[in-house]
Amino acid sequence: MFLTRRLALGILVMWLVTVIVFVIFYIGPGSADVARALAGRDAPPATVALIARRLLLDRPWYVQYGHFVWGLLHGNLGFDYYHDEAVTTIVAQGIPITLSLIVGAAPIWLAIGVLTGMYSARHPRSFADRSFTTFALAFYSTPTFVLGVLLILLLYYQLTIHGIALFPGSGYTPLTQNPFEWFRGLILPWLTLALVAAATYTRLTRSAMLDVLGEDYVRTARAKGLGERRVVWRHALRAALTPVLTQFGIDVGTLVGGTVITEQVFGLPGLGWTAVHAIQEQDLPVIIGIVIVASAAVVVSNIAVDALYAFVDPRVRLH
Amino acid sequence: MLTPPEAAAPRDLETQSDDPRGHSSAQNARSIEGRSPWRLALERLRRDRLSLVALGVILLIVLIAIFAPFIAKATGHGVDTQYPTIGLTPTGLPRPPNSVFPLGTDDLGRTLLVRIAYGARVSLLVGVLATLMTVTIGAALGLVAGYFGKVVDTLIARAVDVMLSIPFLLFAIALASVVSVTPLHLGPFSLSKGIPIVVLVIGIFSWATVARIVRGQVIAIRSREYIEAARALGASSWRIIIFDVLPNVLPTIIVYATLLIPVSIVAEAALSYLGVGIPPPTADWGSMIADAQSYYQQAWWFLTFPSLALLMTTLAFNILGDGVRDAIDPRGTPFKS
Repeated sequence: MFLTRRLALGILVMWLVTVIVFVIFYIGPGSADVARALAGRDAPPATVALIARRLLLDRPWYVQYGHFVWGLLHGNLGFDYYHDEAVTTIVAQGIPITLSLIVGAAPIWLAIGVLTGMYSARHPRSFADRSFTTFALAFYSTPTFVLGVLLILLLYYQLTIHGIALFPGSGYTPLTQNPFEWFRGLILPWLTLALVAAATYTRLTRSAMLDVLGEDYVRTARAKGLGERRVVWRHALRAALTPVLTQFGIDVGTLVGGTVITEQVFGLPGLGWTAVHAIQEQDLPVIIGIVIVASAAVVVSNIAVDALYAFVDPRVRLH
Repeated sequence: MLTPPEAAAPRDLETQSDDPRGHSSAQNARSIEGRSPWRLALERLRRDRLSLVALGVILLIVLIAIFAPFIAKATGHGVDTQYPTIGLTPTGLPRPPNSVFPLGTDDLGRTLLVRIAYGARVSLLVGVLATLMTVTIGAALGLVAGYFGKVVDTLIARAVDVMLSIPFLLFAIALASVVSVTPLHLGPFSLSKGIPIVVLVIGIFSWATVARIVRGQVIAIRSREYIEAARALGASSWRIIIFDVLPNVLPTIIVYATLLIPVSIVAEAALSYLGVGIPPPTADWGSMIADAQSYYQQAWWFLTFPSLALLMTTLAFNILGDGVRDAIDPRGTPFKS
């Protein structure tokens, strides 16, 4: 029941996203401008009119929207303005790269964040706690692109000119082509994403764990004579992980459209990089396609998080 | 042996409780007077040394921003003035820091120090204005949704869901680039590029979280007796919202606003880094870092100094934000303990 409602809400959200996207990109710039921009500066009016007709830009907005949604429902995101390539193909080329980024970075930040957060909560005010929280605040304040360029400067450039070429500076090697190069090339981007994200998790885990460790059932578990390790890892962590998990689901979903900067810094042609380039070329179908895929990722991951709740926190199952 | 968190709790209470009975007796004997929650918060903030340092750094950056023209005058270099002969090496690369150019030059032979000082203006202005806009929209919608409930609440809550599902950066760069091609007409103003657009874009895509937090608080307050009393006295809904509800959610709004400033500053820098923010030649930290990325092998200063400026600003605001939160809401789990 709960999940059905959640699913319906997800569909509603996706519909509204398509409306907003449509308003921004179709109605916002004005159809004449779109055709004009596509035709080029010196194109004769006939060419502009032809382009407008071919892209349905001369039709009323509801026809355009209907066409847009009809295509969407059939898994068709249209064709890019310049090379007539299917947007689904363009998106499909970017997805493995963006996913590679997320798949590698997520475990790193989750591990760093949860472990340091737990340690901090179990030893509040200790030196380690203070260091962890200070580092967390510092990385939390670091813009992704600043961390990225500084990592390139220090770990790529400085190491390379001193003869230690550990990491490449930019570019992407597909996993299927050479797993080792794939891994090597992604370490710095992973670190960039993970260190910034981990900071949030350290803070989140620490405060959640502190709350949980003060609860009655933890005292009961200790009073029963359970080992400290069992109390912390089995009883406390389970409840403390709920807010962490929520954040994790949201972050992973958001990251599909949120690796823009990391991809730009390291020259990885994933979804974000493709979107930025499409924006520079005013290639609307490509931008719309990527925005919709990215929004869908957020919606799906939010639903997945809600479903996962029940498994992790027994208290949710009772409701 | 593990330190149980209870052991730490009494100390927390003593220093952070806003209940006067929690103070030591010596302090009580010295001054027994009614102190407003705001004053208590201010006093707690004044005892937080780290926050004071952060505040000092912020004030310094504000001063640098205000007096940027004086810094330009002191070096004798204009913010956009290019020095192709003395500012660039014979091969056309930026010059390292020296007595003429204290922090070196950029790729066009402009004085980095002056440009960083002017960049502070953009960052602070956008940070504060975008935060104001975000908080105003978010608080207004949150108050309305929480107080009136029913259809209004459902509509606003769904709008919040949609806004939170939207990938911020993708939409922001898309909207910024669309607007740069087709200017936005707002009454007599025609906006296409620059600070107003960046502020607008950040505000439009960030209000949802504020609305959600405020809405939750208002729902908790709505059924209190004093609201009912106000209603019984014949106060209108808007009067109750502004005079009875708003003051009670204001601390939350202030805490959130302090923490939003660095987020807005980073958002502006990120947009400019991606080339859809503040257009050149305006000095801006984000676009300076973007330009510097092509020269990091030859000119470390070009990349490092704007990065440090941005980093110091966001760090200072985040530390202050944490301090303000702990001072205003001492019962919340303090991050710095």
